[in-house]
Amino acid sequence: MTAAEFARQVASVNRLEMHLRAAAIIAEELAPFDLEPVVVGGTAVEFYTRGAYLTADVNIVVADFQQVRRVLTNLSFDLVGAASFVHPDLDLVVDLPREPLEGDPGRLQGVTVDGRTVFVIGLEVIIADRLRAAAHWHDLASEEWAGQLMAAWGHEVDWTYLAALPDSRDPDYAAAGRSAKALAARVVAGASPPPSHDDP
Amino acid sequence: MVPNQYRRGMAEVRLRMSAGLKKRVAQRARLEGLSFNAFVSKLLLASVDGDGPVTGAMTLEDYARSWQAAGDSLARQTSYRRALRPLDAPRRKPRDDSALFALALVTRRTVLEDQRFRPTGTRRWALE
Repeated sequence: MTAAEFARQVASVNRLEMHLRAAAIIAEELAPFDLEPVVVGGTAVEFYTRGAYLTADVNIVVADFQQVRRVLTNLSFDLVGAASFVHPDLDLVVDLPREPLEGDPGRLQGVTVDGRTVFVIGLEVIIADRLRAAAHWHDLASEEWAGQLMAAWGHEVDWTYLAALPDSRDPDYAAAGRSAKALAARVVAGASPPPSHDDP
Repeated sequence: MVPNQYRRGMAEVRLRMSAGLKKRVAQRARLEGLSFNAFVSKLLLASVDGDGPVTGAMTLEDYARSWQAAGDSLARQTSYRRALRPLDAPRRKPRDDSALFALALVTRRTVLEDQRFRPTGTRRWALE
C-alpha cells in the first residue's frame, strides 16, 4: 500500500477506529513476512472499552523490528526514539513494546476492519496486565481500568483463568484484583454507589 | 527527573502542538500565573502520577479530549509520560468511589450499546 493510500484509509475522526484501521493495514503489510502483530497495552484497553479509554498511540507487539521499521517507513512513519513511529500527517503514533507477547495467545481476539484482520491481546490478559501495574507500580488508574473492564465485560470474563494466574499469589496483585472485582460486581448488579463523604 | 528527558519532552510537546493549541495553553498558563513551560510541565507531571484534576475542574481526560478535538496529538505527551515517570512519583489519592462507580457504569453502557463491532464468532469481531 502506498503512503498516501494508508493516510487516506486510516484518517478517521474516531481515534479507536483510526488505531484499528492502522493496525489492520500494518498487519496486512507484515503478513507476507510471516509476521503477525498483536495490539496490546492502552490500545487494547481502548478496544475493550470501545473508546471510553483514551490513548494516543497504537501499541503493537511484533517480532523482527527491522522488518516492521521498513514497513512503517514505507507508510511515511518517522522513527522517534527507540521504538516509536510518528506519522507526519496523521495524529498517529505506533509504539512497539518489546517482545515477547505476554499472556495466552489462545485468548487473542481478532478484529476485521475493511476486510483486514488484526489481533488484540485477550481480555483477561489485559485485565491481568492492568492489575500488575496496580500491584507493582501502585498505579491506581490501572486498577480502576481493570475494574472498569471487569464491569463492562463481567458476562464474558473467564474468572477461572484470571484466578489461576500465578500473579494471584502476589498479595498486592490479589488485593488490586479484589478491589477491581468488587467495583465490577457493584456495577453489574446496578447497585447504588456508596454515599459520598460530602453527603449529609 | 533527568534534565535531558525533560528538555526533549518539552521540545516534542511544543513540536506537536498546533498554533491554536499553543495559544490556548499560553492563555491558560497566564491565567494560572505560570510560564508556558511551567504550565506544560505541571500538566505532564500531573499526567505522570495520574493526578487529575490538573487545574480547576479539568481532568486529564478533559485535556485529552480538548487536545484531540483541536486536531492535536497527545502522542508525545503519552510517550513522555512514560519517559518522564519519576521512580519516586507521588501516589495519587484514590478517586472518589462514587465518581469511579459512575465512570464504570458509563464504560459498561458504552461497551454494551456499541453497535460498531459485530461479533462474527468466538473472539472474533468485525468493525462495521
